[in-house]
Amino acid sequence: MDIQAFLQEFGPLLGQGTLQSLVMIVIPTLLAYVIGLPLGVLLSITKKGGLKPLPVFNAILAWVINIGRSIPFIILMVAIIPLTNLIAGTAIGTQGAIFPLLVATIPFVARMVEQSIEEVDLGMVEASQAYGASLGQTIWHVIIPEALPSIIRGLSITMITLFGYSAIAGAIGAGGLGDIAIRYGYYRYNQSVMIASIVLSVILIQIIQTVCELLVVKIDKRNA
Amino acid sequence: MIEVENITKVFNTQSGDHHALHEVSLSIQDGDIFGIIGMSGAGKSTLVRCLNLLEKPSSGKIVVDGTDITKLKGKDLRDYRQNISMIFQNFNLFSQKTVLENVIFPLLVAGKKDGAKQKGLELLDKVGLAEKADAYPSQLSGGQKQRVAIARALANDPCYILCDEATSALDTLTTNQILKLLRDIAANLGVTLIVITHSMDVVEKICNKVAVLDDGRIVESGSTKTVFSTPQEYITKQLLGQVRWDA
Repeated sequence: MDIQAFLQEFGPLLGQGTLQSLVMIVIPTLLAYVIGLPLGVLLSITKKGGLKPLPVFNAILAWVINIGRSIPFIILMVAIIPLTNLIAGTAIGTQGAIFPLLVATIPFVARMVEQSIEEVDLGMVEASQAYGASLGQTIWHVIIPEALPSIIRGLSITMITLFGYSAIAGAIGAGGLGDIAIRYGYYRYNQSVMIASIVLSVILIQIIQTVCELLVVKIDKRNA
Repeated sequence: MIEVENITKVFNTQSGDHHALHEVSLSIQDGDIFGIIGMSGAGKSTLVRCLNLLEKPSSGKIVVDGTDITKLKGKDLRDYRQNISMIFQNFNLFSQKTVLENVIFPLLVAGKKDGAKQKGLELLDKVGLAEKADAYPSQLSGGQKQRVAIARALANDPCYILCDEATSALDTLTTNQILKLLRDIAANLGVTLIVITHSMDVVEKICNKVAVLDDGRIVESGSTKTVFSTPQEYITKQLLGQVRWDA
């Protein structure tokens, strides 16, 4: 089969698959950071020895997040189908995949953000307090800006993990490149489609990784 | 004026209670450059961190200009901290902010945004770094970083500045420059300095009074001249280098 005929037959399918993969990466990522970033900050500051130690609250929060982290995505996705139906209106297709992807990603993001915040030099936090900054000012003006390069590195890991989850969601009809690779490559032995979807996946992930790395270089002033 | 009255600080560690400070009392007059000297682990940093309540004393009072600051909380504590600034051994500049943004940070958190930039530039000029306003800390030398930190410490026109081993990470020449700057600031702006150090050299150069801290206790204090010319305690003699190093 020549390239032109291949593209004619499978181009629209692959294009749509790439788009669906992108949607399943970008939308849950954005929403997961809206919720997961504050959770990560809370996890970090309420720890023993943190800026605002609340041991009981911290233990409960960590416990809930660990539950979210401990359920394999394929099981989580199936288990929350009724909830997904309620919230997304459907539990199938790309639209139905977004909510379970979000649920799986929030605890992941919370832990990533927590780690990024732990890396912030305590001396800066102390300086902020010594100059009379409130807790909120210290978080907003010092901790988050100082942790940002690391948070963005985490962002690329989150997006790539989400791509993996989206392929799993693809297995139950969510679409995307993973879905195409399984349906055409695995079930129908169509190697060309399988290879094409793998190549597109690689390109997609490389772009995400490169953009995040460039962003980190741009914003991190420690090597200015 | 700062009056420290019988403060004790106990840290509850896994290996039991650790007494970092035992009933420490001292009196710091306005305009003093007050040295607190001691070996590593003597409790100097704990003591200075009690003065701005980064550490809360376990008992005792710290009366600053008539107010017992150990009782301060929330907004009152933050207002107090704007009046008692601090510089650190490792500078603790914010690495993702420009030099100017670092200097005006205390103004921004105090809600004094108007004219902050202008004031920041003036302060940078005062410490001789006006041309570095838009640079980032990673582009500065150690001495320059500490100058920026000093400018930042002056932003809210504090009455007091706590210097926690401010020159310990710097070479001799840079140390002298920073000490001169601190001395001039104290003289010209009437700021009272509390200088934590393990170096007698620093005390001798800029402090008019000194207290010797050993194992959480003040063992000797007075004017620098008196303490240096007639040291009473063994630890003071050691710090002064009057004890044979291999004794």
